Amino acid sequence: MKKNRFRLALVPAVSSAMLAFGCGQSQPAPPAASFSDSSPVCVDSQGRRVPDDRCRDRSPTFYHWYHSSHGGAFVPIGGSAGGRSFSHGSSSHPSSVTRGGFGSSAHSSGAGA
Amino acid sequence: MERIPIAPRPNWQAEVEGLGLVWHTAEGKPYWNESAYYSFTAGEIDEIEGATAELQRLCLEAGQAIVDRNLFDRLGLPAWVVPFVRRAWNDEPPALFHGRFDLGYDGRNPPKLFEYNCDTPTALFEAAVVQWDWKEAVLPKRDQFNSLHEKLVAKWRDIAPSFLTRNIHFTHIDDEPGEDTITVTYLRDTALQAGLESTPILIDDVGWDSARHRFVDLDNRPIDVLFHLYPWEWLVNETFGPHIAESYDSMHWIEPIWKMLWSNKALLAILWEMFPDHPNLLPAFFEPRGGDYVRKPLLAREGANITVVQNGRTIAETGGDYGEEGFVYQQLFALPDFDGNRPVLGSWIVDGEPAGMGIREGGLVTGNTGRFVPHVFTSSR
Repeated sequence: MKKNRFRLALVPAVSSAMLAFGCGQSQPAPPAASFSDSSPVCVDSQGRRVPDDRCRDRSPTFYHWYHSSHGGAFVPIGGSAGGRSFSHGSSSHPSSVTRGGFGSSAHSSGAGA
Repeated sequence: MERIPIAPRPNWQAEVEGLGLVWHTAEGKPYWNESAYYSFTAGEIDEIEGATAELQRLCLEAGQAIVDRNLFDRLGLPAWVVPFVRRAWNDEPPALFHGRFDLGYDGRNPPKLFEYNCDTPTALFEAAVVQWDWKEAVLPKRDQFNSLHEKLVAKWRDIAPSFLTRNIHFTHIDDEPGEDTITVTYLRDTALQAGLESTPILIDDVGWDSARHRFVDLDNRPIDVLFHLYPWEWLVNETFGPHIAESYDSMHWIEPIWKMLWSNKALLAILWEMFPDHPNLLPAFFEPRGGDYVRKPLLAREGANITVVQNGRTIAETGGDYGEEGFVYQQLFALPDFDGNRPVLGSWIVDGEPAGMGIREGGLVTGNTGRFVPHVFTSSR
């Protein structure tokens, strides 16, 4: 079973970023440095923000996580997260692209087994 | 098989964090537990490796039986998924073909299968990297059942020519402990060492382009190959689920959708039907048959919604959101007890072959709070 030394490049970088941002503390860890800096909020089918619990439960889904790609400005409950829908609102994105259709079943503790 | 107490390295937290194991402590207790290790003989490792290969063979036969005899209703799969599962099973699209058998083993009797985690298996990074680094630092003259890293790199290298792109997208959830993030990042590392490129994307950020009928990344580039640490049963039941069918011919999923056959605990009852009294299986049924048993939801993860019944009484029960899909009832196995520590072996498969082992300790039910304990074995027989 002898093996070569590991030559990992990505794991040390990502884990260091997570530690720097407080992973392991009581607050949720932010996305690793190499990921999007988007800030998810839970929205209904009209793009209005609703309590995040509705996106976390596993009932038939009418709610979606919305990821702002513009710094994650604060959106109050009932406020509009992205204009018309939960799709990206940036004009640089094709209007045919929607996001948030995966991820609603996830538990914060992970998706692994 | 022995459990041997040993003093942890004084700076063990920094040592494992340096490798990337940032979730080494959970709720104030070590998840990575190097205050003991398990020691095996070479013969015992041969037995575990042989049982792992045998169980993989049985699962292949069971998967073929499900497809040939149209047993999909036992798994509770959505009807629209079945043709894609059947097609993927027959086509064998390129994949890592990896997974983790959870086994009960006491060093005296044949290993017994608890379940097969082959869709989104975790505890991979600590098995492949962290426990090997510990062995090299603490017991360098001993050996370890562990060729995970080499086999993962080799498998990426093997399947790379199958893809039209060198760029693989990797997705997972934004998990608080960091386990999923680092597990996927580790797999990105192994792909990188095989000459591939990788793009990370959180599962919530995966986009659907209705004009091109393609899943896209945050730059709106079509995703050609997607590694997902996100269960198939979640993917197919979410809002974008039907788009999987719509775009099936234009992208590769790693692992493939046929893994729904094996990650479903109905597999345990089907295996027992096909191979009754097999030495590596525990009796398992779709309904309780008396005796002491463990009731498991068909789709539960991380030890959720497990009920342990002994002498007609529930002696342990875990919470969770699973069970609507149905249950299997598996004969209770008495885990070996090392001063209150009960090990479950996680025996790994990569490319369909045994590839190493990790051990987690827990109580009657080993969930996501189990402790990972390293192991070694003696090479001489």
